[in-house]
Amino acid sequence: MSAAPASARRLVILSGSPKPTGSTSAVLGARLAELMAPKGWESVTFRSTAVLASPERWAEFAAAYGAADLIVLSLPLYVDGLPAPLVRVLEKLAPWGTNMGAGPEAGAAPRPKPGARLAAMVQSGFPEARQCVTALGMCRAFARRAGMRWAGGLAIGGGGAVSGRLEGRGGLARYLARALDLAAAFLGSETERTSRPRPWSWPPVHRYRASPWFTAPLPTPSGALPPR
Amino acid sequence: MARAQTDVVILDGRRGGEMSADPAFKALTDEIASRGLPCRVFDLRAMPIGACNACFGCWVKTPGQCVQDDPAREVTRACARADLVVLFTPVTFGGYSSELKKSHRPQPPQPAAHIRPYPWRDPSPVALHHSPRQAAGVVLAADSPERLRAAAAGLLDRVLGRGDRR
Repeated sequence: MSAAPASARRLVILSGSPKPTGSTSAVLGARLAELMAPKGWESVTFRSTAVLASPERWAEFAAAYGAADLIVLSLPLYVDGLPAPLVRVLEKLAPWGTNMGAGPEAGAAPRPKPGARLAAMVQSGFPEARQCVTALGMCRAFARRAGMRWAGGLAIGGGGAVSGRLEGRGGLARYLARALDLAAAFLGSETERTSRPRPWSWPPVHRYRASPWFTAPLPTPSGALPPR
Repeated sequence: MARAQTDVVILDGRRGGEMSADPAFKALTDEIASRGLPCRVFDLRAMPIGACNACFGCWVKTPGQCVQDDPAREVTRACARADLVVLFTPVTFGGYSSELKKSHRPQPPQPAAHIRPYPWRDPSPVALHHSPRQAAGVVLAADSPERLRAAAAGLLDRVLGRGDRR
């Protein structure tokens, strides 16, 4: 029996930044897509504000969402949580996961592909990466409600160091680029971990670190993030 | 000196067509009304409020006010004058609903109003600086209207103090 050619896997990146230009979240999403491409991943990127702005764009996004093997949310931290437009998109994607279960949106919501995974990159201007933990928990809760497997998240402090581009930034962005390399290696691999390794950070940077959490955390009854 | 009355502002973050949070909302508003507290409710789902672009204009251009001129400015004004602000939301993926979240756009200057864009010009505290009013985070969840009402009463007792009951 001859092996069928491996078809490209589909990656959807949803940028949650409401900024029309100069978004750090969009830069991080674009870099991740670049890193995943050589591993056979076809990516398409959407902005939450854009998909909410027109029904046509929403239909396009819904189709990509339903066909994706991996969805990555890339977002800035807003008051310890997700930006309002991104929350609205998630409500439309999984209304049964909110109190809107019997609401009018439930029937029209797109369903994720069976076995699809969801990961998230949360960045903020705070120097401490741990500020993003609450928002990562929300992304994880959405994954569970939407019926996707949680592939983990990347908590990023000092996101303002990116300031529109990663190239040539050096300094803090150097560690962030390394974190994205690790994330792409994990997310793009065929095999998945079944246990949770210890969180790892870079010894030289204590405050300005990007903590890679691209792991497969064991589920907890409460749905809360495991303690670090 | 104690104020003669307690002004309450409720930011209603319920989404359209969502009725599961109605009993808790009714219990809360009924309890506030029974205490005779002046209360203003903002139905956020009916208010066209734009998204925060993280431009920080509310700090450095128009301190305490978002640069976008929309109904959120009235929300900010009411919150700044209130003695108690209630953020009412159905729990959504462990956080706020999108309706309540959008009302947070002009809020950052309030908790951090001590940050002044031009301190050399005006060393006095800015007008939005206010005594702490955010005192409780409560989930109103109960299986009967009576228990919901009791939970709402407990919430107000905690925040306002029993002496405010009238």
